[in-house]
Amino acid sequence: MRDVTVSDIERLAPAAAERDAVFEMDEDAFRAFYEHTSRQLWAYLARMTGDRALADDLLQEAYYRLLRAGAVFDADAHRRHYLFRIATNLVRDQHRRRRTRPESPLQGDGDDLPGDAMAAARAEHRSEVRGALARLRPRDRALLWLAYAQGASHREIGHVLGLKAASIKPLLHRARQRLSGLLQGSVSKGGRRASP
Amino acid sequence: MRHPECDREAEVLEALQISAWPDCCADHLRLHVASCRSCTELADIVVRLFDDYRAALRDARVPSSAAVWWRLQMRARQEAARRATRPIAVLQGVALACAAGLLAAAIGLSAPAWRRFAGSLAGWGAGVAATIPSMAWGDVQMFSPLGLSVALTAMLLFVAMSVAVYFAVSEK
Repeated sequence: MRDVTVSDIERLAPAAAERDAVFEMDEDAFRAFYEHTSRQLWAYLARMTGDRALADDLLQEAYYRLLRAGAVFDADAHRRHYLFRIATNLVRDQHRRRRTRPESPLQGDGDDLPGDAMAAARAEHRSEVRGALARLRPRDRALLWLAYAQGASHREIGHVLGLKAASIKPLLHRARQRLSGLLQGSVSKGGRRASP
Repeated sequence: MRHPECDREAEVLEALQISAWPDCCADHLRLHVASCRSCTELADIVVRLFDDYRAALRDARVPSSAAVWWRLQMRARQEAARRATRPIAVLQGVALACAAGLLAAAIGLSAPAWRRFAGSLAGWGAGVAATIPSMAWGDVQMFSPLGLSVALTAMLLFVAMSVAVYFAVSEK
C-alpha cells in the first residue's frame, strides 16, 4: 500500500476541504475557544496522566476530535464539557493501553527554585498532592480535580465523566477520604503536618 | 477513618472557592471548620488542589491557537486524502491477490510436468556422465507440451501482473 504523497494532498485538498474538513467551528471561533480552554485542559490532562508530553499530545487530539465530532452546541459551556469528556475518554484509553498508573508524580511545574521558606513549603505541598493524586484511581482523580481544582458543579462533572449528577456527591466524598488518607500517609512519612 | 458528610460542606466549599480562605471568610464558618472533621478535610484538600491547579495553569506551555488550527487542518486534509486513495489501494491488493492465486493455480497444474522435467534432467545428467562419448539426444525425455505451455503461461501472467502493478503504483 503506497504512502500518501504531497501531490495527492494538493490534488485532493480542495475536495477534501469541502467534503471532509467540515470542522464544527470556523477559525476565529476555534481560536477564541482554544484561548479560553487550552490551559485548563492541559492542566487537567497533565494531572490525569502524570506526563507532560502525553498531555501535550492528548490536548491536540482532544481538540481534533471536538472539531470532527460534528456536534452542535448551543453554548460554549456545553462545548467545553464535551471537550473535557473527550479528554477524559482519551485518558481512559491511554490508561487501558498502559495498564499502569503514573509511576511518578508530575515534577517540575511551579517548583522552580523557591525563593523563601514559604514558597518551599508550598512547593512541597504541591509535590505531595501530585504524588497522592497519582496513586488514586483515575475516576477519583478526575472527580477531585474537576470539583475542587476547577470548581465544576456536580452536573458539569456528571457530563464530563458520564455519571449521574446525583451520584457525584457520595463518589466525591469517598474520593476525598482516599486522598486525605494518602496525604496523611505522605505527611507522616515526611514527619510534617500540613495545615489548610 | 471514615466520617459522615457534613451538611455545611456546600457552604464551606463556596467560601473556599470564592474567597481567600481563611482571611476573608465569616468567623462562624471558620469556627465550624475548626470543629468539624469533614469540613477540615474538605478545606485541606480544596486549598491544596486549588494551589496545584494555579501552579499548573501558570506553567502550562500550550502551543498557540494559530499553530494548533493549522496542524488540525493539515491533519484533516491528510486523512481526507488517505480516505480518497483507499479504494485504489484496495484494488491493488485485490489485483495482487488474483495474481498470486493464478500463479499458485498454474504451479499446481504444472507440477506433474515439472516433476517429470526434473526427473528427466536428472536422468539426462546421469546419462551424460555415463555415456558422454556415445550420447544419444533422442533418449532424453522432455516434459509434455501441455505442462510446458501451462508453465509458460503462468510465468507470462506473473510478469504481466508485476508490470501492471508497477504502473498502477508508480507516481506517473
